[in-house]
Amino acid sequence: MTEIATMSIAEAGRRLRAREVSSVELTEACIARVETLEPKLNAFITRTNEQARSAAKAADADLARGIDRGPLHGIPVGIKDLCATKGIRTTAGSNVLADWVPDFDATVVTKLREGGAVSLGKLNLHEFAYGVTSANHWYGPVRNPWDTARHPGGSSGGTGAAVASGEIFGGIGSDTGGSIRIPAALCAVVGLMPTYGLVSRAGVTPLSWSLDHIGPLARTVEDAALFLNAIAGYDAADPGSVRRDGFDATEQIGRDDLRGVRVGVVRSQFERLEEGVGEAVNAAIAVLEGLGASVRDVAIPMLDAGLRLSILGPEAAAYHAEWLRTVPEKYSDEVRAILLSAAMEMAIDYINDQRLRREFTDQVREVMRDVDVLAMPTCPAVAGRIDEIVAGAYRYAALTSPWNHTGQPVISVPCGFGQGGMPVGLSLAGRPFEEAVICRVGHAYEQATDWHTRQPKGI
Amino acid sequence: MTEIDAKETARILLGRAGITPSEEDLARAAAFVGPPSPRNPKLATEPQLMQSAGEWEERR
Repeated sequence: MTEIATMSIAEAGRRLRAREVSSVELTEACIARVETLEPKLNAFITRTNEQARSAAKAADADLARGIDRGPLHGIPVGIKDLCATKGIRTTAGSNVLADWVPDFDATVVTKLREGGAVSLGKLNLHEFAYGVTSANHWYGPVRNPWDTARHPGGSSGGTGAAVASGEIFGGIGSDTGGSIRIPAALCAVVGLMPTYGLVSRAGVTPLSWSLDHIGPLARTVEDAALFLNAIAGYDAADPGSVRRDGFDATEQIGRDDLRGVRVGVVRSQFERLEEGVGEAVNAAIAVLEGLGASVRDVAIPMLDAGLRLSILGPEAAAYHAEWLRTVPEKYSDEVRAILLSAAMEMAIDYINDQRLRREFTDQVREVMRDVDVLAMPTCPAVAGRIDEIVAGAYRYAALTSPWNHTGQPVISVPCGFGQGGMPVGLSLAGRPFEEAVICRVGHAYEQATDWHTRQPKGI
Repeated sequence: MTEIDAKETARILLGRAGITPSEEDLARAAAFVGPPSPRNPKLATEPQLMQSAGEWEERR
């Protein structure tokens, strides 16, 4: 990987402001990398090289005039193709929307543009974000940079693969059951699912309204925090949006002495792990303890008892009902089958699961009176082979989906390698709006280890 | 439930949603039709759930 492609957003930002590098240079380096790697990775559905070049020139001109638009100014990024982009095709990874060219931007896209970010295009994903492998029937499977015979996780698999391979510095993902954190873990990058409502979802094709989150994937914790700062903020166009004045995910980064930080290990989430995953995560937790954190196991009774909530499916079926009636042939067999099964869910199950969800959230809140961070594996297994994907792939979301129901922030940080030399992720969950705390712990872990500096060997 | 019953149930449930599945889709959907789900069996009968529902009402 070239030097530019390994640079962090923080480092690139410093060099941009010191005039040691230009946005045009960063952008051209990334475009060259995209052109070289895309035949292997298929991380993009639509590339927007010329728009990127124009945006990079504008970013450089702004900086020359003393206009600084924030942490993503001049930085090449990518956007999950679930987010509406004005004048640029937005497919949601589907055939239903294959020809949709929105006349508006999603709020998160507006924030990127106003923040001076340079978008290289729209990133591949699992069809309608309803799946965890990004083996897209319509646009081809995304491939994992660590081993291109394997999937990158999903649904934000294009973002994970593009960030890990150095095609972009960071990118937008969405997370309804783990879709930011799963590809982050399986591609050895950082994925940050923010608190529900912190980042607007207006203009993003929904999967499940009460579970959907928008957030960044990047190569370091600091980069993910900077990225989040750039896209967070109240938006009246999203009914779930919340006001959080003065939010700063980076404010505790650098406090790498973790004395005083209490880490709760959710031990029930270490059952039924593939060999190598638990070992890597336990070693990571030992590192946190070595940095001064107090560590103890915690019990969350409903989670420990195998809680399974059926909320995502009925909400997804509600969104897709009209298209299932009118254009069912435009769905892949896989996604149509799961939507049809979801359409048959009973209302009483959905309602009672919402009640259980409240109970579960109360239990987690109670546990987090005594700990600041919950630690566990992000996924129970490393990325599997694309030609061996089966329905059971949904197990990748088994450890991530509970936190969509509580709405609290969770970050996945690379913490080693498991079977086949494939990446493993450590999940750190915090209290609502305490992104700064999980970013502090994640950053401290990064500084004590070198997993995040390893480069994919599959490309 | 027999396969035929499951298919008929799926046809009725999807029909209520205005969806007319192909025979192939109906067969797939029927696989998801069965006796009441054992999901969260311990939790659904926990007394605190009822208590919580009461608290929930109070919060409103």
